[in-house]
Amino acid sequence: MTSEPQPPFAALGWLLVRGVVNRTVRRARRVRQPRYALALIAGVGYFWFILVRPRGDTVLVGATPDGTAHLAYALGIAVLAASWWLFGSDEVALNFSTAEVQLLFAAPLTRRQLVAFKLLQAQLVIVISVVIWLAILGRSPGSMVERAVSLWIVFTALYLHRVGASLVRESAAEHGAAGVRRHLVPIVVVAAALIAVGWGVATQLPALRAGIASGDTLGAAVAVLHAPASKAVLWPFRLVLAPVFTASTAAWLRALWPALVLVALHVVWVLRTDAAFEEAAAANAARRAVALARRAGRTAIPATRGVRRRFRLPLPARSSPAAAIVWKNAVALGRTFALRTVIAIVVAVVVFVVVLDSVLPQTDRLSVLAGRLCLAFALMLLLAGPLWVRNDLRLDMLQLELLRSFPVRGATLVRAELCAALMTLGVVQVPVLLGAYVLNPVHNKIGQSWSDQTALLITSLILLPTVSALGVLVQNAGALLFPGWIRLGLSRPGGVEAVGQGIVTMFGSLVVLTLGLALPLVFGGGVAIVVVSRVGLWGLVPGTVVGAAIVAAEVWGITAWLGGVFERTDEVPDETAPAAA
Amino acid sequence: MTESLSMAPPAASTPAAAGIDVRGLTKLYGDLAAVSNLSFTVQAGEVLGLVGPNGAGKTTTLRSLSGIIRPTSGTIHIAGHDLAADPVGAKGALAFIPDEPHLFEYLSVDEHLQFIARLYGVRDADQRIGPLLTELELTEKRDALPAELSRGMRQKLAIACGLLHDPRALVLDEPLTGLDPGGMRKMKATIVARAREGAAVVLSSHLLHLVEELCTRILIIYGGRAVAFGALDDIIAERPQLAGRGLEDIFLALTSDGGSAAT
Repeated sequence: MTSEPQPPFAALGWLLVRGVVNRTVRRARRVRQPRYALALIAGVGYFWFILVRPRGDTVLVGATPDGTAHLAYALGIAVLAASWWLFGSDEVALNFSTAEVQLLFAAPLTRRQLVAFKLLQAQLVIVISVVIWLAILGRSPGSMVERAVSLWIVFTALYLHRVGASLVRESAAEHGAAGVRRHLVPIVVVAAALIAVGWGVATQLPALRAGIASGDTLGAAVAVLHAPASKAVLWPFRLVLAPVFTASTAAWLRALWPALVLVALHVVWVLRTDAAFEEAAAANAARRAVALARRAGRTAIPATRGVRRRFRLPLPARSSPAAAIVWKNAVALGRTFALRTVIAIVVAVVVFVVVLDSVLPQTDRLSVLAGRLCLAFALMLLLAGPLWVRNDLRLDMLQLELLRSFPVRGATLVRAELCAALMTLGVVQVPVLLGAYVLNPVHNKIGQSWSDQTALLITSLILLPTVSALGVLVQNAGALLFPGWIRLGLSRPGGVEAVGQGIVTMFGSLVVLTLGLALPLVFGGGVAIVVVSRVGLWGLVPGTVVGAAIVAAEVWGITAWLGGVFERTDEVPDETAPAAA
Repeated sequence: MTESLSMAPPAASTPAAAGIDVRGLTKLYGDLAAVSNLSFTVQAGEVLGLVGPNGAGKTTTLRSLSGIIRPTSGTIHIAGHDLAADPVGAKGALAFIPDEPHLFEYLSVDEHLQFIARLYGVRDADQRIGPLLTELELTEKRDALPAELSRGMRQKLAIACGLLHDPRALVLDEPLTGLDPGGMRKMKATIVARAREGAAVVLSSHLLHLVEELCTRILIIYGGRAVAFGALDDIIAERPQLAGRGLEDIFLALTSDGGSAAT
């Protein structure tokens, strides 16, 4: 029997603490820049508004008396967990930096100690995530401590499960059948869970079909969630979430201990996994180092993943520099548009239609359903299009050095970058609107004439690109002014913290977008109201034209200013240290 | 090292006549002066070697010349265009080839060159691209994405992008990094050929033998300031204690202990 060396917890603990302190100091230095200081004040104000401001309890989590929300969230994390087992996560869950790989992997530490170190390190991110999500979810019944502990349990359990799944997958990939045998218990459990889900869906299919046929799709879906088979499959996930959905302290205490036991079991499982993760972690560290260097503009080593070559687009022989930039970004979109984005869009549209279908009176006409799809997609594009389509400065900011060397004025470059994203959105928006018009989904509902429908179509054809222009502008302004807060390039930061930051950023963008639309709404809306009262719905068209003209003037002015900002931006300010070399 | 030039900008030299004309260039990062009051001129057909130890301000100088960063003060003229007042004209006459090739990961080799051609208004791009790809041994890789190229190949592509529009001013930062011996020889020939065709070239490198071999004048900077500027013979003539030494010894003498050997 060999004895393990004593864990050098003092050294590892010191490393953790110094890392936190130094990172905090570095971020604090960034606040010396007025724009980040202003943003920080806005952020602190938002958190105060949500967390501290005295007001009555509101339930933003979506808790429902019958526990449907609890089941729906459990289903969500079950799907997430299944995806980790089936497809793996984007990166190895045990993310080591290159320095950690070089220094800790070579140090006299056991695998178990390395895993324990990473689990401890992850707690920092989890705690930050808890704070962010407390703000996002708003106030709920119970004390803030209860909610914080509940969220901590959920995030810790999810993190541990992801690490465990990742380690088992690594081990299986490394050792083949032997690796599978070594982790037989978790693999069997997951396989059994997947089979149970399949069985549950199969048994509930007739009920689901009946619900859809009777026009209550949502009700049928809820019934399926409440079926014994679903509840059984979702049991462990409901257990983890249970403290979040309790209404009193006594209930919370009752729900707490099973969730904590589950977390403890996860800790034991991960620490005992002892998978040979070093090689994968080292490769992952190298990838992350390149990505970070690219983000800071220190290297231009291209990404090796996520770029497809098949998409081609001819470049006109005689084109201006601005047109060349638009072409470049169109090619970029064609080669980097992820399949999972398409799947996400399709799923989102289908969910939207299912909800719409259960709200609106039923009809069995397929064309009406297709029309609803088009309408739903057009509405989603209006809101989410500028977030989805990112072939603009958000993609190019990492190549700032290259962009700055181009013989193009800053304003021209910014406008060309916006154009690429707007044209992409337009290419989708126009046919979708035409589809909705031809399929005429609301005609039978509110008795509009084709003339009115045509007026609405023309209004929409002006309105949607106009709002999209402002939306894309806001996103690009964010990339230029707050590059540290906007996802740049092809990287996809994972984790709950990134999701929370994304939501906060989206909230800020919506506020700015609303401000940008205020003036066009006042003047365009005023014109529309006056003219509609005289000529009917066709009066919307001149109102929209006025609004669009104001937006165009805003976009022109703001891009001229952003062009100046671009010309004054020396580097993507990820680093605060001077770049003297 | 055939010309005899003084450290101060030539009196007859005007921004319009020179390929690159830098006067009083200063770049501050907060309180830190990365470059301080730097002045030099590179005439058409001349190759200036920019050398200095790590942190001396070379990269800041090169990035300022190429319009990537804005100087805190001072003026830069490229082929007669004031970089601050007419950045489009100045950048249109310039090529900057960094030590790390910056490329778009989603454009192929050929598409990079097509894109650069439109950006710089190169009208006969198709006639130029083929020979350039051949010269840099990239013809077989013209459909490859940057991720599919080796480090040296990516460097060659960056060089091709820089040379496509026949720049009148060429700024090179460690141009031989990542190249194989054959590529190095070709790169050196290309630099000399471009200078002979009338381009003003600034070459920054730690490879002092390369600088000695290719450059007509040398600018040594230390702590963001010029400590020596001119042909190697002139630098030695101004410092008799350095007589008989090579560039490496001169460089070390001028950039150690505060550059005490500097005049």
